Amino acid sequence: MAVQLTDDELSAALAGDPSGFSAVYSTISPAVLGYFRARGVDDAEALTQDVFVDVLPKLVGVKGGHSGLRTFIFSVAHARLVDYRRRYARTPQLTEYDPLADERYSNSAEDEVLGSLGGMSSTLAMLNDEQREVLILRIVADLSVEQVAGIMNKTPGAIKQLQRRGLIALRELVKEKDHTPS
Amino acid sequence: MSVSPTGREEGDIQAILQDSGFEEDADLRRSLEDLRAFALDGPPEPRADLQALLAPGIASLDLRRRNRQRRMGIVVGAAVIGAMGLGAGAVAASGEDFRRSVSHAVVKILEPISQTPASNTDAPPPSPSDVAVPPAPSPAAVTPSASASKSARPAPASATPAPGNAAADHGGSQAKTPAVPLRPTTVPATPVPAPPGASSRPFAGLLPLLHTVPGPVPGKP
Repeated sequence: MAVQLTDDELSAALAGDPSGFSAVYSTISPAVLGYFRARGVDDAEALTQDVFVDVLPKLVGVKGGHSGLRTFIFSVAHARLVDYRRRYARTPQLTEYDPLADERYSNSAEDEVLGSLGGMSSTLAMLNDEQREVLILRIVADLSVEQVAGIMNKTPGAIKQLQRRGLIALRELVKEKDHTPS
Repeated sequence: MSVSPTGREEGDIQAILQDSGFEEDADLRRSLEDLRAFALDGPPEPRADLQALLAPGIASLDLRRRNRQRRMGIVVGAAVIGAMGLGAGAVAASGEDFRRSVSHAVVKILEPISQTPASNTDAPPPSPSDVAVPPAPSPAAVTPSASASKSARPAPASATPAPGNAAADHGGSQAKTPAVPLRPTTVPATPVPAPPGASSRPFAGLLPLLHTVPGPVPGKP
């Protein structure tokens, strides 16, 4: 997100030029990777690369400039995530030994100190699925309300409503979290 | 996770907070900045197929893969056909019964084909001299020639210098008639007015012998 795609790189990518492809990949793949990580995908890097292997040869037909390109890539990423969720729900769960689930476990001092840093995923996991998707697409993927509405196949008003409810729930969760340790 | 957002990102989060009426909530802003930090890692190292897309010179791997598959299909098909041919040849070479049954089957198949038309291709031409024989059936010439043929049988080589008029007597008309399974020895016994074509086919082998007849024929008139 820190690096923006220039117009020349965009036109090269839309013309099928590999130099444009690499610019698109280095610019947008961090956001796609963050989107999958925020949604709790196991192997977010592999899914990110799947998305770009799928998307890059199809960039020639993309319209709408920068926002159209971003919408297209995150549409594919969203569809991949839905597929991943379905596949994940059907596959049997392999359970490894989790030291955190062991009752003979005592809290780590480092975790208590650093707890606030890694807690975003667990906080997000407590949100409604659609609220979480809207917030992640709005903030991590850096998409507008209209773009998110197009990807989730909803109206912009519904997206604004989900965003507001998601922020309210997130604020409540953050307040609870702030009060619990102290 | 500390985030150092650019002005634009700061503006985005601010706009989102304003949309929902939480622009003053510092805790929520910090949470959203933490959320944004998910997208701040670098791009993942591309694996081989993605690297091929990003590298200049290779537009798509699918096209190459499809061409290679088509080529492989042609090669495999040619190899299968060649192996089947070799196998059939090996069986034919090793088994006498197989050869006989195949030739029998071929004869069975070709037999109805060869009998339906005039079937004038059944018997091979006995000698080159027969080819030049013009059709001029003469019943009178047949009788002595047949008797002479018995004596001339051990010397078929004499058929070559046969004069043209003798050959004209027996004729190519015989060669054109359908095959009748008569033994050559019955030829002299057949009555003179017998249709000239009736005994053509089995005598095809005797035609060179009949050409030795010229002696009596010129003397007859």
